[in-house]
Amino acid sequence: MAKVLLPRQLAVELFGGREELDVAATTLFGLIHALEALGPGFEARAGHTVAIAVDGVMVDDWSTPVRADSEVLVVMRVAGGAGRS
Amino acid sequence: MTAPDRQPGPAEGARKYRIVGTRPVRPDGVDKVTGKAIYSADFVAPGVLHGAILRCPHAHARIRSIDTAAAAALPGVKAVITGADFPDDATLLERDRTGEMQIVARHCMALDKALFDGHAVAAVAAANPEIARAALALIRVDYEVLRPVLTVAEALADDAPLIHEGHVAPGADPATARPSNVAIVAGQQRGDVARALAEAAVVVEGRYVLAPVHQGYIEPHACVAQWNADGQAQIWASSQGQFMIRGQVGTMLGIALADLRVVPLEIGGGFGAKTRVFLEPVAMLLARQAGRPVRLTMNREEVFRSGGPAPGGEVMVRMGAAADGTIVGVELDLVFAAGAFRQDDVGAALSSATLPYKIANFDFRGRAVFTNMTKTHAYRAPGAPQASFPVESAIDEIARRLGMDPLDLRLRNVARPGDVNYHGLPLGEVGFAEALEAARSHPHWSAPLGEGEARGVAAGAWGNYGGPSSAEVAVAEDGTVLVTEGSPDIGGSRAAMAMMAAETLGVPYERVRVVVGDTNAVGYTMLTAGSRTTFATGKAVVAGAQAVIDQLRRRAALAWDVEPAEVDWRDGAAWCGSGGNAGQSLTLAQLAAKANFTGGPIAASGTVNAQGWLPGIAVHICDAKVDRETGVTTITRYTAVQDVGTAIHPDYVEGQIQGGAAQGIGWALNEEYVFDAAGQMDNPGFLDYRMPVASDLPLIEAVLVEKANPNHPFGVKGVGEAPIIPPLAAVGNAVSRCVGRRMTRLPLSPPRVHAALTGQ
Amino acid sequence: MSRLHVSTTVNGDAQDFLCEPGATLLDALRGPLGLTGSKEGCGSGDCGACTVMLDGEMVCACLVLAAEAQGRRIGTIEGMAEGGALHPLQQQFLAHGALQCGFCTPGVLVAAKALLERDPDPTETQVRYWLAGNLCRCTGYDKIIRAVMAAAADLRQQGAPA
Repeated sequence: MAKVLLPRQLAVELFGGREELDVAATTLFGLIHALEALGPGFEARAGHTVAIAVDGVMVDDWSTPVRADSEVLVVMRVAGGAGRS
Repeated sequence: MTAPDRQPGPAEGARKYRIVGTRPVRPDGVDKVTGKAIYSADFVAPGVLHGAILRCPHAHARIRSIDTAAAAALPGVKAVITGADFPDDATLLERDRTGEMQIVARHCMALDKALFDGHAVAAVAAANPEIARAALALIRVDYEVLRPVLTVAEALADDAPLIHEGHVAPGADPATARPSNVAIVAGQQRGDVARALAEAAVVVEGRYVLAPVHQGYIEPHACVAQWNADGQAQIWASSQGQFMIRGQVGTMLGIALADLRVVPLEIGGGFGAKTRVFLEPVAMLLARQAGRPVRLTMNREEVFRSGGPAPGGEVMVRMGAAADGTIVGVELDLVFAAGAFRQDDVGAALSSATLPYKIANFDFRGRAVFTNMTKTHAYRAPGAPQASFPVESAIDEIARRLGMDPLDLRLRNVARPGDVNYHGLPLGEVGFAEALEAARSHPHWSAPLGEGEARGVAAGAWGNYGGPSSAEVAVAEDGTVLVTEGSPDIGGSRAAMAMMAAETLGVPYERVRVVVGDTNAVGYTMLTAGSRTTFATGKAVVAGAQAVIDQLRRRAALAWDVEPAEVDWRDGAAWCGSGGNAGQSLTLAQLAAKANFTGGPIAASGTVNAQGWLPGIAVHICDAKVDRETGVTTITRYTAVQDVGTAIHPDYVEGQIQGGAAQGIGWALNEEYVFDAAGQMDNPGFLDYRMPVASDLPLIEAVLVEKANPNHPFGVKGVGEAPIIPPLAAVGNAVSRCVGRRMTRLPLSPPRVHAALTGQ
Repeated sequence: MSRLHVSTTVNGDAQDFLCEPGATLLDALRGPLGLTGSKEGCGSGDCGACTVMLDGEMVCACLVLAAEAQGRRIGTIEGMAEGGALHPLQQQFLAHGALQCGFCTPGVLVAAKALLERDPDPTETQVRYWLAGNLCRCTGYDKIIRAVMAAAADLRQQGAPA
């Protein structure tokens, strides 16, 4: 099971306050899907207001493999004068 | 020169390029110095109607009713709309579950409540501007004026009027069901700050206050929109992203994106503010009703009152250091006045505040609160200047208390590659230490000070970004090359794209021309913002050029009857590696001339979701003196050092640094929104919103430290945003020394400095 | 309200147009005359983006009534180059990278030309104070000042009036 670390605000808002979750998935696609089931509304955020790092590296490619011992960090995305589009 | 391959790029400092690093004239330059370039308000559309917007004169009011009948009946008026013509909240939330489009729509035009002085409540389109203005005067709005919320303290008060009734801050800790004016809560903790500060040799503390400031672009917002009966639409506008306009307007109004073509016009400055729509949805709704194109513009007063300035707020900092200067712990508590709708600079503020440094123990908390002013929006490194100012001031205090050189102190704490950032992710090949060292060894740092002068230094870093970009590269029959890319050119990026393409192809710069394409002409490209353009769109352009090279090698292989693997590409030509034609070459022009006989036109796309961006640091040294009679501060010398990765076109990299520094100096010394007691802006014009003019500044020496980014074919790191971060504290630290007191409230305008000098 | 008919000279050419009595010279240039090189940045004479020459004097076109152009000579950015030959100021702005977004550039160029016509050898400080009425938000003015000083040197060398 991959370990998923969530920022406090998102944990409280979507995941009942749980900041650390164990999720079974083989790709980031699967992981996001699993997180959506645990906290509905997560998938709409993923890639928009939320960014994801797998084993220390930010990834936008959702086919990125996730291993059983992977650590996945969810981060509130910084707008950076780039906003959203 | 061999085209760069797809693996990590050049070794730092060692690689020399033919074109990259030189300073050719930009391709759009002649149009811009002769007045021919077409900006948003210059665009002429046949049959265009003139739009005008009615704006609420109260800072907080319920809209009981709007009567537009008389306006609609005025001869020459072709369309009238109100907020009710926008999709309803449920539809907006269904179309965009993040809620962002609901916010943008309601900011573009109010529905039930007007939330700031200047909030649009209705709009008309008419045959000429005079009729449009007359029509506005005929619209009757019944307001119930409400008590406005104008400051952070008022927003947080127990009896505060609620700007968004029923709003509960998501993720507030502890979770509460009580509605309040708190829009957003953010924060991160690591280690044990309380213990670190308790054991520190020196602890400094301060409460810093900043006012809202405006990006100050000289070109007001403007657009022309057309929405036909068959559902197809066009928008002509300047912006920081034509795909952003398409996405926001299309999502908001329920238009298929292929039906909405957005043509980017030249842009007269944006600095983050033009990364969202303000006028376009209004113009579209008017255009659909009228069946004709509609032009809408903002005047300067509207730009200030109803645009998207940067938030002000209050920041409390506590910082502790060991006797050797190691910063052992930092606490930050930050509240931003977000304006009428939520915005998320708080997160960026907290994650950038100490980015240049390795801090073992920290506790950062931030909130954004609703206030009755226009919704604040991105301004060059959004949130970072406000959070960095207290941090860099505190570091300055610690340096003074410990008797340490302020740059030595920063170097002692600098984050190096592999150290983790605010989120706990390891940093890549950042050049933080190199930039600090370059500042320390710069002649300015050791130059003697003049009479009455004092020196301040500060650093600031920004994460930058990559993301999606697209480019089309096509070879004309004569071998010249056309690049169409999707990034609006705010400060010379077309030149940089041409240089990177020419470098890759091995042809002269003048043989590659770059245009910025509309949303039909090129694939999706994210905003020109976030210091991403040279990095990400550059990668797309290089990818497209490399794909063209692959095609050229295949065509040459056909001509020589060899395998493509036997064909090399260098110096703008294909070279045959084997067989009877070994050693022969065919130039790009020769191959282009035969294109239709070897398979057809030669063209390729490059699309990327660029990864591997790196943060950039800026380190600024400021000499200033203060007139003790008037409180006026004069900047006498200014040096701006920055790690830029590789400077593709040094003039435009220096330009970003000098421009960002000037904006930061204005933020430090003179710029602020001034409101009266009713929440109306007292200074919505350039006379009293005082930005730096030519006589306020000295020459700004830009020092480019080039530590290449291994994740870009030419080593690029984003440069546009970092330079606005350090000036607030660089100036503040200098002025504090002049005055003999820590200055904690910006701007350091003459009355404020004078009061500090006279001990008030 | 009936419109006024104005006859004037713009960049050496006779021009005429109709306008509302309250229209500004900037409105007339950008509207009926089709010369959009002069920009509106503020409409109140604070930014200089609409700087033009009126009978040899530098003015903000947004502060001049269109009707006041009657019988007078207007010079705009569109008249600065001689046919296809750029003025040395224009050339030096390009060579120095003295523009980023380019929106303030027409006003700055017209103002700088007016300076060099009066004083062919200004100091950096004199250039800065002369251009203090032209706001630029992109460049921090550094490369603008360098370009003006370089163009002044070019013009002195040529010995030609600006």
